[in-house]
Amino acid sequence: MPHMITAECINCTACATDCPVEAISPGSHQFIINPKVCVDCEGLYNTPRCAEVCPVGACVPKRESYEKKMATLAARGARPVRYGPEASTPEYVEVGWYEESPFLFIQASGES
Amino acid sequence: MSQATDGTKTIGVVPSTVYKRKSAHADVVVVGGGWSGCGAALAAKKAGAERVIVLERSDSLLGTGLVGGIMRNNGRFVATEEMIALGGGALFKVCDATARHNNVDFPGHKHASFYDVAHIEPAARRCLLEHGIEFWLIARVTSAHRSGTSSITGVALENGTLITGDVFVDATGTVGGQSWCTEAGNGCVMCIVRCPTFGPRVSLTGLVGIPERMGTRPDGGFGAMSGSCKLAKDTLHPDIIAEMERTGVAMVPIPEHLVHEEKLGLKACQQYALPEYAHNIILLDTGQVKLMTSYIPLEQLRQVPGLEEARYLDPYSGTIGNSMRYSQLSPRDDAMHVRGPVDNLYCAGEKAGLLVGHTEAMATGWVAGHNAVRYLAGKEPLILPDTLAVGDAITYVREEMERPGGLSKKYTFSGSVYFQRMKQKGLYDGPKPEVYHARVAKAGLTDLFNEKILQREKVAV
Repeated sequence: MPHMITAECINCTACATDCPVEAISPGSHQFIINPKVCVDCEGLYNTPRCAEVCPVGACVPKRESYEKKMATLAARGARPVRYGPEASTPEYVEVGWYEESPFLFIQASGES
Repeated sequence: MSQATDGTKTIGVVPSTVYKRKSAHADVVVVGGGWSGCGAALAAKKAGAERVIVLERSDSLLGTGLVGGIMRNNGRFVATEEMIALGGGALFKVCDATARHNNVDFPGHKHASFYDVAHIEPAARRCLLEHGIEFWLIARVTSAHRSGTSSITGVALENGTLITGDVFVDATGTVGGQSWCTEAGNGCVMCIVRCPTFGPRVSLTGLVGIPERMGTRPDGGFGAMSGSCKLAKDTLHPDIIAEMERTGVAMVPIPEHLVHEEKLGLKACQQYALPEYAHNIILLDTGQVKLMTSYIPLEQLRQVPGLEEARYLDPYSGTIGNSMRYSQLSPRDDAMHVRGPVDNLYCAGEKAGLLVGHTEAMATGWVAGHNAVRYLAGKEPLILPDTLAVGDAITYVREEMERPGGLSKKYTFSGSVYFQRMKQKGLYDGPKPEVYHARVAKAGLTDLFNEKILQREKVAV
């Protein structure tokens, strides 16, 4: 069962530094574990190294429910809102919903 | 917008339209909607830029200005009136108009004004919209594009929306994200910046690949902790609330066993590092309660008489610390142009140096926005003379930061090193607007920021 990094990630780089198989690299918002490379530290450490060193507990066994939810988030927080001086009401900036989600990297990292 | 019965319009109705463009273009793109970004945008508009867009990461303008409020104290009075005389007074007037208290003295500070943190952000929004400035919220810039040129051609948001522009201002500030506050401070304190929700701050200067500097501390560490927090007014004793609302200030003596003088060194705001602050809880009325210290564990705060039920409003975790600043300072010249491989990047506010305060942010923002338009017009940039406090500060801070040890000091018109310098140079003469207006007139710069730079270019041909 490979590991994944959740949104708690604070980009401290400890996991990427310590991963014995170099499965972890920085993504656009947080670090990402490549599930094809991750071996759960089997044969290398008693417990997965990334989970041990992560200062915020962001490194956990992969859960599909979490990754599915992250991949469907269209934007961090919410969609951008535009206030134009000529507009009478503020306008959401269309982001093409799922195709432009900045969290698609999670899906991409899970591709087999 | 809805119309109230007294004819005022309200902003904030649930949006019903969708803006279908996946990209936008502006003459001047300001990244960061805090006080310095707002100043840059207004200055650019007044100098004649046709289209100005402000891109703000969070859901509100003003950044730390949302929890701030202190204006016109000590040398800031000078800078404010100089800016008004120069024609860069719009934001200062917004603050004056929302002031809860004027002409307040508190330890180390004279003739301060406190704006109301509840009303200031809508007022700032109105000011921008009235001047024809467009702003995007929840619009964090995460990449910069150069297309192989020596200019930034555009910036992109997290979702890929591209905003192209002719000149850019980095007004992203220097506070957070969580990993910086963890490394340099005591951890993420859940402050108004709200990194987990809107994404941590991204430096535009950094996106372009320009190396930046960090502020340092006397103890050898990096960064500086924000110097004040906010308590919920209702959680204080009514007598304290009454005193605050009457005069603007309440000073509550700290029981002897809690006094920690050594904590003074931790703060970003050296202008408040006086003994009165070690022996008293100093509270200012900005609508809620501004507590003039970086942080106090709630258990200790609640041992102070009158504060037995106190609660933090900002940062939520004021018990452990405060947000950390000065993580990335842009290398700049005195026209606020960022030094490096691109010719069309300016910086303002905390990016521009170890400057503390809204006044400082507005002033540097204004200079940056004005010079961004001068760049567009092909004109020489404006460098304010050192006969003005604003001009002197911009030059002096840069020079000091280039000296050994200069990165460990903090500079503000309101106290410490720079206010001392103002007094020595005769730049500070008390709360006398006419003195400072005359100073600007003598320099031949009255209303300078209201001159249409771009339009004048057309006429010349």
